Amino acid sequence: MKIALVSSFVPFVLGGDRNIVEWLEERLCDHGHQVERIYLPFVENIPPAMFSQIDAYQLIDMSDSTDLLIAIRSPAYVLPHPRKVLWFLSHIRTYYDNWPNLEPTHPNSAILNGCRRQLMGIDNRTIREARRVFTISHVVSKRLLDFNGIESEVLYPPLHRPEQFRCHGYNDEVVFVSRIEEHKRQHLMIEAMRHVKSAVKLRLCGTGLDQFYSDALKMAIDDYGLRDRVVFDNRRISEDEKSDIVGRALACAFVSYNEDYGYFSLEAAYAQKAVLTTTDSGGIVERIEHGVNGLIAEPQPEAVAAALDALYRDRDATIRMGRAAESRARELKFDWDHVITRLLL
Amino acid sequence: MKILVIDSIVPFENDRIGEIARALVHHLNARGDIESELLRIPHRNGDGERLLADMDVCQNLRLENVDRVIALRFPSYLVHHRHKTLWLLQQCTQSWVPNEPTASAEDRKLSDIIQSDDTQCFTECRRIFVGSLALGQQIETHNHATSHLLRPPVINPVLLADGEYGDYIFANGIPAPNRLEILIKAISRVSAARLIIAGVSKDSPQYEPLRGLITANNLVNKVTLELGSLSHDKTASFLKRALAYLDLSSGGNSLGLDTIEAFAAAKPILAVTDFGEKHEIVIDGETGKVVPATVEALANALDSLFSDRERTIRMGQAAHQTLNRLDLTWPRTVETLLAPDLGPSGDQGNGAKIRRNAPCPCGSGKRYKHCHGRYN
Repeated sequence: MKIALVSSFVPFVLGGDRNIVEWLEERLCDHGHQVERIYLPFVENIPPAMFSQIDAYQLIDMSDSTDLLIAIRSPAYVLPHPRKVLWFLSHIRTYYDNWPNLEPTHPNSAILNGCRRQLMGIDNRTIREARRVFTISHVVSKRLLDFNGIESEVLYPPLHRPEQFRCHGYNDEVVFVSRIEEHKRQHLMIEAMRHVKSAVKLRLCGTGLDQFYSDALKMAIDDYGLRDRVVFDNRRISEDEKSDIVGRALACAFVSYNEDYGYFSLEAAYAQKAVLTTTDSGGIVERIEHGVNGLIAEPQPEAVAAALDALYRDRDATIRMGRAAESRARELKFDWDHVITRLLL
Repeated sequence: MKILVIDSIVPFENDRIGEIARALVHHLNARGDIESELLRIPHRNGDGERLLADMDVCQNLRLENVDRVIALRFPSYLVHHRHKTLWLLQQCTQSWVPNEPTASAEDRKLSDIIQSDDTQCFTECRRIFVGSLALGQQIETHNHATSHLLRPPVINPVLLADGEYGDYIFANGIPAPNRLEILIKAISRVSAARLIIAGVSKDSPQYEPLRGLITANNLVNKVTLELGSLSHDKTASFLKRALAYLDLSSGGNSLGLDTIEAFAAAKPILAVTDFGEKHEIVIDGETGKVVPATVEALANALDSLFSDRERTIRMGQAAHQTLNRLDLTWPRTVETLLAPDLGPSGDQGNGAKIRRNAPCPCGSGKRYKHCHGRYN
């Protein structure tokens, strides 16, 4: 089958969304399909131009040259196609679940309200054009139902090569690998490190578009005198480096606000690491059972600090949770064959 | 620096410009101080409405986190960016319609829109390079845009190195209908001549006539047709083992990629006299044979290529040296595309003649006569 795999992107920003696209592409090709991968640029948060970009997307017509269109990152789902399937990562969140954070403070809230209604109208119409709608987690499915009244099926994205992540022992570090962005809340981890009472260490890895945020994190580490206990590796690390760092870690942290999925927690699980997350972390929380395969803390520095101390002080329990995390991931069968069977149904 | 290379693609139709786009991204990244990615915008082969829609798509997309773009062909170059370099390798055929006396009113209207959007876009470009002289002339005539010639290099020279000289001449694709009969008759006259044509599609309107001619002239053992579109690797392997390369095309807008690939493989070229601007580097008797499109002339040329192998091989070596002198390499191409601004292309002396001993405006550091001036 000739398949168009369409997703939006920000050039030079790599993240879980690209992994899903490129890993799926590889697996579809393995199954004998021809795949044309299309990344289209999309700039969010500038209302008038946002709609002209959506108009542009809607004019892209690949129905002559492809049998199926699989849309991944928003708003790729607005592309027309007689046979369209969505593997929906998330809404354009500024106008959905992040709306309450934005609207009251923004000077043009009336205009933004109008934009929001328009966008919801477009979404309600174009998402319903799809033959099937899949999402990457129950959190995302719930949002689709609550905001758009659209039912969907959860299809957890598997890792590319789970065998790449292995346990190489347990050091004193809790590791958080992620894009460096405010909603990923690296700052919460740094704040928490001020309150820990044990000798636990923290390692943050990744890059982000927001240089101010990265700089602020560096300053905070200095100001709080945490340089000997917090490593901020502010660069893109390779998959090999990541599996090495995670493989040797004591545990992993993923404390983002309202995360859609959180690939990193899955990588951690395959490396037999307990995952520390927070009650409002979204898609990750649905896969963590407190005290079994990880810890769920309130999103406050003191609470996160207590969890960090617990991970450090009760190493046996931490290792036990790490092993449980791996068995749990294997039980849930994150399986590419299953994903492809469902997508092509 | 983050450089986005922008191309238009028809899904599942991989073409040479698409390969050039990938190679460019690869060689930009190879510099080490640049991050480069490729943006491929879907495009359709089609009529007026479709063309306009596809132009609209490009004009309405927005970019962030990109320092520069390098755009390669219509309509992808219409994507807006404050620092855009155009390396024009393919233009929309519709944009030249008004010159055709038979053009309909609708065609003219469409053509006007394309021309005016192009003109606007070209003014916004920091610099304009063209892959062939013909493209440069076209945009100068229709859009008053001044450009610098930058021929694309061989995509992957390694694939073409260290070949040998076999017993066949090689052609990539079926020659034009008016050339088929001449070619087949010429081959039937030369007993040693063998020909392999690759990249032959059974759907091509020329396929059946070609088969007919081969059978009628009893050439089944001398002319081999390789069906199906060929990968770059496969084409290269045929070319590497050929005695010479056959190109009966009549030039036009061609970028001359086949010519430079044959030269990179050290093969002389057998061509006809309306070969177009590839003439620039194919010199009769030195780097190939350039003859009139007649049975007689082609047969003579084939005879001399096959009977005097030593001379043929010498011409192949000379062709390779010619290519080396042209210095069509990826590192130089990348340097040229990244060279400091020459100012808006319109300021480039407004077509004023560049002195032959002056530094070349492409920024290569060479004298004009040794660089882009060679083509003028």
